[in-house]
Amino acid sequence: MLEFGEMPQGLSAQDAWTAQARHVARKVNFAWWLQRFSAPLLLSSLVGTALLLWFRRQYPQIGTAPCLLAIAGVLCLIALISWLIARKNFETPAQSLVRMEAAMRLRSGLSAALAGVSPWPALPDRVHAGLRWHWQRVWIPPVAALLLLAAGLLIPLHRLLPPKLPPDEPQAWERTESELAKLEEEKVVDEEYIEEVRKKIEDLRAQDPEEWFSHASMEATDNMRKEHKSETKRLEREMNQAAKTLETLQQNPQLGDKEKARLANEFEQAMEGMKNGAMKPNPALMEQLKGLDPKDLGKLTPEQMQQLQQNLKKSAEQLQGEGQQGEGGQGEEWLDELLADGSHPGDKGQGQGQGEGEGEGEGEGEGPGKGGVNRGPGHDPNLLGKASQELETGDMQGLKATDLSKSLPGDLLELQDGKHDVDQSASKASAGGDVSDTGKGGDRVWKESLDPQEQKALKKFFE
Amino acid sequence: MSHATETEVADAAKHIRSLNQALNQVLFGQEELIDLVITGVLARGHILLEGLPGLGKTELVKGLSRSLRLDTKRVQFTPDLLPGDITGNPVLQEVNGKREFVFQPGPLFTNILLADEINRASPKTQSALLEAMQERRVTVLGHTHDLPKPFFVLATQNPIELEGTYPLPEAQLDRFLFKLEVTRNNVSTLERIVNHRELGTDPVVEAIMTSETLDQILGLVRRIFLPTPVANYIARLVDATHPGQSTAARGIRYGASPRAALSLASAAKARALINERPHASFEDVRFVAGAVLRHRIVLEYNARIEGLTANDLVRTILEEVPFQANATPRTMVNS
Repeated sequence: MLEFGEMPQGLSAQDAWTAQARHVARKVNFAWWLQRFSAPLLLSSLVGTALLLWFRRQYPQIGTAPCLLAIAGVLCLIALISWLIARKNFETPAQSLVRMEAAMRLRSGLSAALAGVSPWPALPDRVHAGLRWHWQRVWIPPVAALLLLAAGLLIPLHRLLPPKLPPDEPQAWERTESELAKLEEEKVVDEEYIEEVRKKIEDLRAQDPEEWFSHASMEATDNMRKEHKSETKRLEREMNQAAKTLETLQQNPQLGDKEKARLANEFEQAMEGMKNGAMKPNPALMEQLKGLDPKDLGKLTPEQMQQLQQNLKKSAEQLQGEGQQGEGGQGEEWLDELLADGSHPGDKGQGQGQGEGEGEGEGEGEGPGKGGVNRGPGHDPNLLGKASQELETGDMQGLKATDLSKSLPGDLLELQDGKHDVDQSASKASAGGDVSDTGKGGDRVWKESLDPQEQKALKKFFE
Repeated sequence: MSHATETEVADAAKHIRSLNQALNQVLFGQEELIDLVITGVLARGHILLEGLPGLGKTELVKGLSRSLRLDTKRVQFTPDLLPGDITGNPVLQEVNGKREFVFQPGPLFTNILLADEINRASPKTQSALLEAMQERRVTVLGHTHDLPKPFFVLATQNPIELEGTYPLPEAQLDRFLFKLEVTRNNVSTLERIVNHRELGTDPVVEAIMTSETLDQILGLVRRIFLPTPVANYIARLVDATHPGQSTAARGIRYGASPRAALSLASAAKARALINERPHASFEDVRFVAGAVLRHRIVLEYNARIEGLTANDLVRTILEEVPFQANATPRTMVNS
């Protein structure tokens, strides 16, 4: 109930009642403003809290002061609008007098006195307007608004994570593409082959990035990669063979017919191999070879023979360069660092350029299956960086990674505490490249790994 | 017109208090009824008294006329009563040697007319009374005759034995300032009646004031100040009797007329004078609201079926409509 204290002495009854009426009017008008302000206050606090949380998450470096200032400004604006809306309900002191005389049962004495009809009644000890605050409606909205804003300020938030980037594509694709680009640039092989391999890579890349490292994808990549290497080596071998034959003919013009026929036969086989393989020599060399009859090799002038031999040698050398480009040869810095300590199998310091497995390199290439994904006798020793030389014996040694920038949590665990799932009965990677490829089946062995002479021998044996 | 002063009001209040005491000697245990009858008279209004036979309605009217020294006539309304029987008729008489019609005034030509069982008269007779009540004059054969001043109709009607009666139409009911319900007496009042009254003898009532004094008091009532907030309260009350204007009005088919508002204002002023105040108040309005409004609102059929009465609805309206016009904000409550 609105009650008022003692009025200052000396005031006339009229002044005293008028002062009381003004006081009541102010309180009632404030109550009207509170009523109009409550709902917008709650609503704006809710929105403000949401904005505050968003702002803190999006711009943690700026701080909350600007946001708080903005919210305070909005609240002030809402308070002003509420006041303007509430004004139409505001009451005057004269109207408050009516409220007071009704509540105090003054029988309209104040209204009559205000009209000058009767004297102002004496001010009683207790003056009231018959109103009291509805505390729940007064306090709940502002307290709720404060709590909301405090929650917006104090709730701990995680910083916004950067958007998830697509995973790096398998390195084998990049390497293969790089090799293809080099082959294309040097015009060593037929364009058709290059386009065909590129199409395979594009098909693999067209998969969902999440699938790039799936078992099937890695297996397809592995196959594609190995086929490419195999084709490269095959063509290089055929070219070397042809060049070698021509060189022998050139250096020994006095050979017997039988020997010449053998050399012509070898040259013919090399040519057949070049023509029949997926990777063919470049069109110019191919045209030059097509025009040659192996039986008439002896009729070539020394100059012609010299030129042909040089062409074949040059192409073979270029292909050999490709073949020597091992898995570790792409110059990745982190891998270089790992390799720098000299204990990696592909350590260049030891002259063991690590081929994909089938590359001849320096003769230390990993065998097929070592570099595969989820298959073969064990993990690729290069997968986690420096691999122990003795891994293949089945002995386990701790790995030390000096660059963990691309490591996953699982990798770290494995690096420090875990044991590799190493097939201890794994076959050794034996030197000799192609013939050591025991994981591809006999079919591939005689089709791709053997030279034409050996293939013929095998065919004959089984016939 | 200047407002009444406190001195004038105090002088008039003395007479009114005496009148009140005198009537309380005539009718025991009906203080509120007597208060309202005096209020109605001071407000120059006609009063409809409704109650069972033998509750003292006629005695009250008789006592009022004697104490005010006013001429009074009583008409027992019956179905065969003709308008001329109450207004008067021209009678062929010899005047200065010539025969001509001379108007013989009927019982209407009095200060206080007691219309007993008014609902038993035919509508035609009731209509004749209508003009007299509103215009305070009667017209017979094209000649208008003014009624004496003051002129009050105090009609009674019996709420039972309604067979063969003609309920008063709304228009005629609206002419009555008050409709008062005379309730039965309690045991102590009955004992008092038995001890102080004897069947067949009228109580002795002394004259309280002259007609001139009454006329002055009636003039003073008009000068009682009606504050604007009170007038506003009256307007809001009357408005609340109309369907859609208040919760209680859901049971009302037709609300009160502007004449009801005027009646409320006039009765509130009279009530203020009785309470020795030069100005009317909310409480005065509230006191007379039931008597003024109960016969001016027409209830919905559903409300009647539910057993609601006009009194119930008026009471609800009085609770619903606050004294002050300004609404109270929801952040505050009335204590």
